[in-house]
Amino acid sequence: MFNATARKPAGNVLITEPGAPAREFDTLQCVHCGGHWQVIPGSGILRGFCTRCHGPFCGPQCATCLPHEKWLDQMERQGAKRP
Amino acid sequence: MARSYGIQNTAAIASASFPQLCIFMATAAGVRAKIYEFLISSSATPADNASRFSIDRQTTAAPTGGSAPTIAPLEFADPAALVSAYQAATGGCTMSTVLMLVAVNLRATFRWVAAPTKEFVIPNTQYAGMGIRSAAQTGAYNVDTSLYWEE
Repeated sequence: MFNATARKPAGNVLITEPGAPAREFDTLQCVHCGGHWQVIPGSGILRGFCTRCHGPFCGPQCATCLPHEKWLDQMERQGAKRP
Repeated sequence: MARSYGIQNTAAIASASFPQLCIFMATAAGVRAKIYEFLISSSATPADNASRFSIDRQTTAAPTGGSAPTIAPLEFADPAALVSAYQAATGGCTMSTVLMLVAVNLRATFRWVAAPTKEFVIPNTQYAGMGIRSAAQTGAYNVDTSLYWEE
């Protein structure tokens, strides 16, 4: 049973278990932290869309725009300064 | 072209605070490892138990208390992986951002695959890493986890 829940999914999950049909659903990726979440239409979970990065973000904690690629660069610069 | 590698672990959950299976940068090796697939299942006697798993980032130090699994290149002619792998950690690293959260029944097999360019990315920084952690479990049982990445 496949629920196509995203026009451009960032990932796909397949769950199989005995005595039940296989379940399959999409995941989306946060453009700021890089995390994934299952798309559940009507769940009421607060997500968002960053018009600068042109992609979804995972919640209020990721609302400030810091593109994932830029965050990775920052981490690597900080890491390079370590003794 | 990116090279793909995989690791597996089958064991009881060692710690709810540290990764059951993870990869990390022992040194900044010049690559950004990208996790594109993971699987969670159990070979224990079927019963109605469940675990909550998360994919977490880790920083600060290398994991300790467990062991280093053998990293298998998916293409046998590829050289050794540049990242390090660890299983059943009970200390060392600091877990930070949770990137994905799933609850899996003991009877079920869970598989996640990223779309191309949508992988979990580990920065090229010493001790940066990512792994599968079980934060909660309704009963002690073995879980089988697999992790695949490219670098």
